[in-house]
Formats: sequence, structure tokens, C-alpha cells
Amino acid sequence: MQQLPEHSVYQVQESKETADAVAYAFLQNTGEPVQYPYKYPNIADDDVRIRILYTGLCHSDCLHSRGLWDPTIKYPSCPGHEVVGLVEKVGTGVTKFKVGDKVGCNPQRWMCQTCELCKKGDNQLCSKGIFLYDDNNFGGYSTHIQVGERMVFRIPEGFNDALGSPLLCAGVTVYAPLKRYYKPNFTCAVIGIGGLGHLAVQYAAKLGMTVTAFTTSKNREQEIKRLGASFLSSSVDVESLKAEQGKYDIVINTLYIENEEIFKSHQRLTAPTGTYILVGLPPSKVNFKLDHAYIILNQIRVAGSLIGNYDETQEMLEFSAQNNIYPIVETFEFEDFPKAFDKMEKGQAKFRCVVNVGKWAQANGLWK
Amino acid sequence: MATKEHSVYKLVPKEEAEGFAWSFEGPNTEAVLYPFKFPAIQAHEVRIQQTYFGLCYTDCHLVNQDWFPINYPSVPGHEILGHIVMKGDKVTQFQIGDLVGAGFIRDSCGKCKYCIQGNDQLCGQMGDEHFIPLPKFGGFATHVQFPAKWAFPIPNTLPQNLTPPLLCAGITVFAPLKRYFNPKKEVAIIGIGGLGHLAIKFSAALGMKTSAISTSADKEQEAKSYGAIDFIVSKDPQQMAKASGRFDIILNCAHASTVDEFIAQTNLLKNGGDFIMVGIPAVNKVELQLPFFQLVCRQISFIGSLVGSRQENYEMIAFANKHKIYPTCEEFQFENFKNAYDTLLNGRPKYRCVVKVGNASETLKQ
Repeated sequence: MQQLPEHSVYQVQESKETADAVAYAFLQNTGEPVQYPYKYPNIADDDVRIRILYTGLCHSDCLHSRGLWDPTIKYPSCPGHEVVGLVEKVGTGVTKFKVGDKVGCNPQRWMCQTCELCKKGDNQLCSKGIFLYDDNNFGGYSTHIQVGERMVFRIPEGFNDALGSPLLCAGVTVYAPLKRYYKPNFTCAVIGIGGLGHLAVQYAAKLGMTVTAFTTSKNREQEIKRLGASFLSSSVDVESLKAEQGKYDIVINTLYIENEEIFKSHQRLTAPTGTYILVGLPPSKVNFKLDHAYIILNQIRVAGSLIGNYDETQEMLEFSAQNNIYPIVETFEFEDFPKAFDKMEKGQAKFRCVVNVGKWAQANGLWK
Repeated sequence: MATKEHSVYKLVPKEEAEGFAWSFEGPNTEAVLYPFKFPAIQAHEVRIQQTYFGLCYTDCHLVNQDWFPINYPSVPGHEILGHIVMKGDKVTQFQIGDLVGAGFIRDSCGKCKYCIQGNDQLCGQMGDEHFIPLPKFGGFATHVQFPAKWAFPIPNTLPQNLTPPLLCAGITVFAPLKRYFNPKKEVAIIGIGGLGHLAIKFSAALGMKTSAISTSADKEQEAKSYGAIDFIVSKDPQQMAKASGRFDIILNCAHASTVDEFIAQTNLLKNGGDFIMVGIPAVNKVELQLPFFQLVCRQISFIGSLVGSRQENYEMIAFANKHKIYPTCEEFQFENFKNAYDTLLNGRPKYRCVVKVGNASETLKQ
């Protein structure tokens, strides 16, 4: 077996027998991730070590690990930020959780809790916040994850663990802005029915809005209507988009659109005084054009939104459990992590890929 | 003298005129005098004899077809002030002689969702009757006739020669400042011109910590005299860097001339902040581009605002009156309208052009 490279934080091991955990890590920006057994540094006072049950795969994992966002990324890199698991060990100062608790992790690793934005409640915008695999920390593509308790979430009773891990990123990413800007009688447009969009449809419908799904997949009409959409329309046909101009009080765009004309038509779906929400992130640092004349003449808000804050995330977990809102997932075995990643990278996931980590971890003696 | 006749306003010999307008017969032309008769006044309308009127760059954009093609002849103008000289049968809220003002909006239906919510400036039901400056005659005239609904009573404590710009520039900045107001917010006003100088005054009077951002270092004293607590020169990268992420609200009263300048403006916004846009530049000028990343990861919003509702206008007038908030104006005589328009179009007025109508409607008959 090839010699695995060292890591600045974790002690690489020759085999899983001596390891605290086994990750699937990328060793360079191309190729498949490989198994990487490792030991943690000592657990910090406020850290929680979690046995991962399920990990969701999110497209931004690709953008990160392939170095598309930051070409200076250090390897080995272990992404993943949609985690459901069980507390295995706690630091001496941990008060919120105990061993055995069912918990979740989202993309944020740490918030300072003292800056103006944290105090206002928007910790995801924390000026000193770090994200799960910043500073080369390992994320959720692993049998374990170790995170400060302040960024660990309680998984509510009745939560479907096998389906729910993608909610920690995809779920809150659409739930938080919908909740922030909606009113119950609004008409809602969801642009792009993929991982984010198919959850947005469910939340929007459950919040009481009339939902139109804008998609290229007319053939999935029945399925999308079952999720809660009342109508379907094309997300790319400029003529039909023009016919929908100004009809939607709230528009949530989950896609990254390169075509200027289509992107403009999307902005124009927004009704006067309405809100156009952007959540999708592009592969690189590209610009988009604001249709400022339309925005000014109609008093539109074009709002960006980044995951959600702590309370919004916790609320989303509870709302999802109570209302049975989960993604449609394809589940893979732990050893098929590379296959899951590949499917997700190629955009073939219907709608999210999830890895059943716990089963392998337990069977292979990683729950020590 | 005008040669092109408008379908609604009969072009007449000056001795028979009910009003005199300054009319544009094509884009990028000089205005010509248009003596006219009104169509019969409708039951819900008022006719105003103006004392003063204002000029706004939007009028230039309209006349020169910077945004969309228009019909000629065109008499724009939408900062109107004068006394009611005639009213339709159904007008009960005003008497002959009342001093009223009007702005960009001519009419609203009162029945649609937006009207009922209180956003009657956004009423989409009025077609050609929506806006004052076109296609009917607007404020560049001795007399104007329009629905009483959008006439605002003007208190006699407001100086008349300074009031007209409040009805467009004033409301344009006051409405969003009030809409997004919070006593703890830090506000930045970009651009100390026609809109910006009023915005600083309104924002400071509303009690928010207000800073002014300008390309001109020499406007600092002036900005502070309006109530700004801080002044940042946008061409100075150090000052801009120091102010990075400082403001909850940015009210943009000046167009960025490059994408980099626009991005530099947005850097001043706090994460989660609101960037308010009110001025519409010529369509093919600068595209407002922003990296997706900035918008999403910093969770910032771009928000448009269009003048204000009637309610917001009433509040603005009362607020300006109470706090003595007036624009700085350059005054012209009605007969020298061309100078006023040219100063606006090609010069840099300080800060709004106002035309004194006086007794022009009498003297021009001779």
C-alpha cells in the first residue's frame, strides 16, 4: 500500500487498527479520494468528537477539493459538511452534550460569539468564523469529526438520520432565506430543481406559499408536484420566462447561470417589492450583472444568503422532522465514497448522495 | 417656437394660451416655447399655476431616449409647485388658491395589491397615466393639470424657491432611508450632489450615524455641515480600506463609472448589509457587476427604491418642514429655461436647478 502523506493537524496511521478514525481524503486536486487512517491531536476542552452515522455530499465539496475556489489548498484534504452522528467523546469543558447524544454538523466550524454579527445572531457571517475544512481541518468524509461544541447541533426526536444529513447544508441554505423573506400568502418561484431546489419546493409549500418550480426537467413533473410545486415552468426558455415576469413575491435561485439573458429573465420574475434570493455558488470567482433598472423601478431586493445562523439551522432541523421534509437521496457504502463523489461531481445525483458511514465504522472496529 | 403639436394639448397663438410649456421636438434638441390650451379638466383633476419648478436629470434621460423611445413633442419635468387655479367637480380635498406640489407619479388605481399595501407609486395599472413627465405634459410649463390624488399640500413655512426638488430628489432619498431606518444603523451616502446632499441631511435628522463618501476631498466641510459625522474620499484607497465593512446601509446617490468602482463601493458594506440603489443611469452605461461570492458569502442585499408612496411624500414634506431641510439650488427665470436645462445636462449645478415662473404666463402673451 502506498505511503500516505503527513498532515499538519492529524497523525497519519499505517492502518485502521491504531487509528482514531479513517477519512476519505484527496491527496491532490485530481483523482479519487483514498482511505486515510489518522489519530486526532488531543481533544480540546470545548471539543466534541463525533462518530459519523451518515455524511451528505455537497457540490461545494468538489469546488473545494479540486482547488477550484482556492488553488493554494493544502493536501491531504478531507471535505464534507453535512454530518449526522453520535457523540463519542467530549472535552473537559463541554456542557451542552454528553456521550451518546445524536448530533449534527453543518459547514461552519467555529464562531467567535463576541463580534457584532455573532451578537446580532448571524454567526455564519462572523468576522472570525471558520468553515469546517478551513485551515486544513478534516470534514465529514470520515468515520469521525471533531468540532467545538458551540457549532454542534442537536438532532431532534424522530429525525430520519439516513435521509437527513444533507439538510445540514442544503436544507438550511434554502430554509433560512425563505423564512427570512417570506409571507404566508406569497407566490414563490424556485429556480433549479436539484439538491437545493427540491428541498426549497418542500419548505416553501409547507410554509404555505404557492410554488412554481422552474426547471429543465419537464419529465419529472409528477415527482416535483408531489414535493409541493403547484406549477412547472422552464428555467431556460427566455420567452416563457418573459411570460412569467413580475409574478413572484419571492424567488429563490439555486443555480449558477452563465447566460446573461436568462439570468436577467430570472431577476425579472420578481414581483414589485419582492425578493430575489441567490444561494448557488459558481465554480470560480465570476461576476453577475444586476438588472438595476428593473430592480429600482420595482423596488426589488436582490439578496445573497449563506447557509443559516445557528438558530435557523436548529429550527430547520426541527421543522424538517415535524413536517417530514427530507431530501431524495442515493445511499452509498463507506467504501464506495469515491463512487458517490464521482456521481455528485458529474451532476448525476438524484438529488443528493449520502454515505452510510456508521455501518462500516462499527463493523471495522472504529467505534472504540 | 414650437412646430410639432401634441395630440392632447392644442398648440395655439400665444394670446390664447392657457399655459406655456418648454417642449422638446426630438432627442438632443433645444426646448422650444409651446403656447397651449388644456383639454377639459376632468372631475378628479386640478390645474396648477406654478410658482417654481425643478429640473431633474431623469427628464434629460427621458427626452434623449436614454432608456426607451418616446413620442415627441415631449414636455417632461416632475418637480412641480404652484397654486390651484381650477379643479374638477369631484375634488373636495383642495380649494382654489391652495399651494400644492407634485412629483414623478401622476396617477394610481387605488385598487390593486400595490396601491392597497401602500406602495401606490408602484401601481402597474395606469399605463400612460402612471408618470407625470410623459406622455402628457409635465412640469416644464407655467401650468400643469393632473389628478388631485397626487397633489401634496405644501405648508407655507417651506421656502417656495427651494421646495420643488424635495418632490423628486427629496422623496427619492427620504423614502428608503425611512423604510430601512434603525436608530443603531451606520449609514453611508455615496455622492454629494442633488440626491446626496439631501440624503445626508435627512439621514442625520433621522438620527442615524451618517457618513459621506465623495470623489471630491474639498466637500468635507460641507458634508459635515449637513450632519455627516465622517467623510471618506472614494479615490483614496487607504481611506476606503479603513472603512471596509463599516456600514449597515449604503444609499448610492452617484453612479459608479467602472465595475471596479462599484465593487469598491460595495466593500464598504457590512456583511448582511443593504445597498440601496435609486438612480437609474443610461441603459448601456456601466453594468452593475458583482462577484457571486461577495453577494452570497457576505449575505448582502441590493435594494431598489422608486420615489415614494403618497404616504411617504406627506411624511417627507412634514419632516423637511420640521427640520428645515432644503436643497441648495441655482435659480433661473422661466424665459431662460434653456440655460437651466443646459446647466443640468452639460454643467454641474450646485445642486438642483429651479425655475422661477413668476408672471411669465402673462408677459409671454404680449
